[in-house]
Amino acid sequence: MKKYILNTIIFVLIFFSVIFICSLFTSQIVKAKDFNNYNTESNTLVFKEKTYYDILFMGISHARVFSRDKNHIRMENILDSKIINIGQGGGICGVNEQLFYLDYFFHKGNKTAKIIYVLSPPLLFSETLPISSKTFRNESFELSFLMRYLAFKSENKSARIIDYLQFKLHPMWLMYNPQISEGNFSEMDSLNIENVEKGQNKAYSGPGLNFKRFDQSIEIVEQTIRLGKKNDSDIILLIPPALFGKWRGHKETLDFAKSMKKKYSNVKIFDSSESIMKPELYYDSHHLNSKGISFFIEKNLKPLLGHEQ
Amino acid sequence: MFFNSIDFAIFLPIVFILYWFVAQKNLKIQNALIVLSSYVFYGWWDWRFLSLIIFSTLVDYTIGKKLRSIEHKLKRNLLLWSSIFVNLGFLGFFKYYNFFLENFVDAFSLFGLQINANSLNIILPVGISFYTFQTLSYTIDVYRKKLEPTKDFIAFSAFVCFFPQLVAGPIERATNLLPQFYKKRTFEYHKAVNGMHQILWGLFKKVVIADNCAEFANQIFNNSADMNGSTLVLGAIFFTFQIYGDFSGYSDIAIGTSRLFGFDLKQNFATPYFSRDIAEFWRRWHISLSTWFRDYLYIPLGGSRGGTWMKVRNTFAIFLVSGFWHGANWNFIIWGALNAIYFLPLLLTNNNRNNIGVVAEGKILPSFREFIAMLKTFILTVFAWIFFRAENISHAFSYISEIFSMSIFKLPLDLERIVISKNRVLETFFCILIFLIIEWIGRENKYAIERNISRHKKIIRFVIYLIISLFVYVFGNFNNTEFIYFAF
Repeated sequence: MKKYILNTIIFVLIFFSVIFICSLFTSQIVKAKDFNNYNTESNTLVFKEKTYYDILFMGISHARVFSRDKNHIRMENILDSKIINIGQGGGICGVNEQLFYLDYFFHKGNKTAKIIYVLSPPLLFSETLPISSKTFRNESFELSFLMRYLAFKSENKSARIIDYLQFKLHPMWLMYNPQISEGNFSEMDSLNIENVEKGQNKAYSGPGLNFKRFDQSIEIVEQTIRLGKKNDSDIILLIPPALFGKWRGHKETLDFAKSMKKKYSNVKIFDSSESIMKPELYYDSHHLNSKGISFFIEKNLKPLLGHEQ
Repeated sequence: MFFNSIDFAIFLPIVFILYWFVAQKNLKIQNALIVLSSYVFYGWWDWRFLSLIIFSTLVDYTIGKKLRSIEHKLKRNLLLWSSIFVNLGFLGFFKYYNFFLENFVDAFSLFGLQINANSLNIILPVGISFYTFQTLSYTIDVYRKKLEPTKDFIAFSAFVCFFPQLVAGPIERATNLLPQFYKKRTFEYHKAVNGMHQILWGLFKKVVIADNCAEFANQIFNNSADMNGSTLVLGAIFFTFQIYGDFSGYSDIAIGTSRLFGFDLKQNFATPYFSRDIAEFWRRWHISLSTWFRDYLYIPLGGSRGGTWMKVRNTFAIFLVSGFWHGANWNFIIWGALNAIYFLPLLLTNNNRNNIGVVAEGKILPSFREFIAMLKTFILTVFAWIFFRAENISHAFSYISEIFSMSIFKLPLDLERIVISKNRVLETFFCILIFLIIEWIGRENKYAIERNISRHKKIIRFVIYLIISLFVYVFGNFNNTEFIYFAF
């Protein structure tokens, strides 16, 4: 019996040691590649320590699109600011994991003067974003990241951790390379209302609005605001532009944003949902293309931030 | 509680330590611990349905005891039928009530009669089909005087609810499992190590093969109307490996876990996809259920002893009941009928026992004839699984009709439309290939890696286990925790 238990323990220890060492090793290989905010959506691959930023973007794909396809460089040039983007596209990250990323960003001793929280209404209503298990798939293996997340309260946490750890030994992880796109210049011809409806139904997991989820989400966004305040960051709650204008749940999102502005002195809001209605500035009905990003930053964000400053 | 969950990874070592260190000296305490831990295991899913298991246990224990003292045939019959009525009554209500109700309503509406009958929102208790058949086997064997009725209520309770095989089998016979609860169990190193190997192999089948295939099979079957024929063929193949990996993986984990506690359960799968004909397939697939039906239904009906008509009737009876056992839906019944149609020509021409032994025994590769026979059986099986997996009969027929259309000659590029990357598909095929090679090499064993690894030196064995474990870790799909057969 003793021999059996001892052998089992030795096997388990060796198994986890191999996983640990291999995860560190593969992550070092991936980290050595030239990753920047504009060529990856991973945060641990671009996070530095004790670094100051003028602006931090967060949210879902509508935040990430400001950095994708080298838009990040365009944005930094137009705003003449040092920017970091922790937003996550691809339907893999909800408000809670965004809060975790921000917490980890501050934990590493980083600072930011402003946080632009791109508050897309689906982010607050979606049932799928909070439970996606693939959130950390492209994050490098860092013990502090793992330990901090273990202590973090979240839905579907174990599946997310398993996917994070598992992928570090997968051959695809070693093949993870910087995105090489120089810009996304594809343009919409016109708006297809039927497709918009289909897309919204998908984003909201059905034709209605899930207010239970909304209440949970806004509580987490408020925690995020408090975390920003604690770290001396001003927060701009930005409702992003869409070719169809207002998303379903826009009113509730805006009302919430207004209530936050009232409650916290460091919060400003900007509803840009109907600010750009030209199809040629979008690559789909709610994502700006590179031309649209430059336009939006120049015409909307720059004056807003200038006014703030 | 699922075998591939963190809950079970914590539960199993706790029960193991209590079993061998705290309860080791007293057989009754060991059995009581098994009952208690089995109830925790089952109650983890829904504690309310524990009452069904406990009630079934009480009924069959009492009937068994009564059968010991009563010789009067009519009274014995009455007792036996009471047990059958209670056990199948529960099963019928929870599993088949809505099916019969809906079909009665439909049948009456054919004659222009409208009946207002509301179906009930019934939750199917996990594993009810399995433990019902297990307890029934006890009562029937006692009735037939093949088994002495037990006086030990704790041992009998442990037999009914033994957690490794409670929810998805193997369906154990009282004659095999119950006596093991009477004997003192001592820890055997090799048995426990063997158990761990089988658990590891079961996990491989479940999380690497079944759960990866499930991801594609579900997507393809759920979107079958938009897919071309070649993609649908892929979907059927993925499901074929999903169901085998899922169910035989569960059986392996169940058998391996039992071994950790000193029990031997019967083999439930014997590389069925290497069968040379359908008769062989059914001797190798879900053996515990097939033999149950053989002993308690087929043989009492007369088996294959009578004339042609009787053979046809009995064959259809066993396959249709087997189909219906899997689910209250017509597509399961069609699946059963289809297998009967496959099987009957072999039976009627006395060719159903041509392939008894292992294919290509002692050889590395099969002969060309054997290979073709295996391929033919595999194709027939894949075709039948379409009925098993489809939502209903019309879904199955539309799925099949698309396969037999010209679109079968198109490349299966539809996969990308449903967000399945080519790499993931190739990766899964790679895993299936590795799996088939290992299964082929180990086809003469009770499970694929049983003896092939044990003949190596300790350090090599250790490395092999580590590689298999890492393979499970890296390529396993840990998002899909449920086992298909929990629903049966």
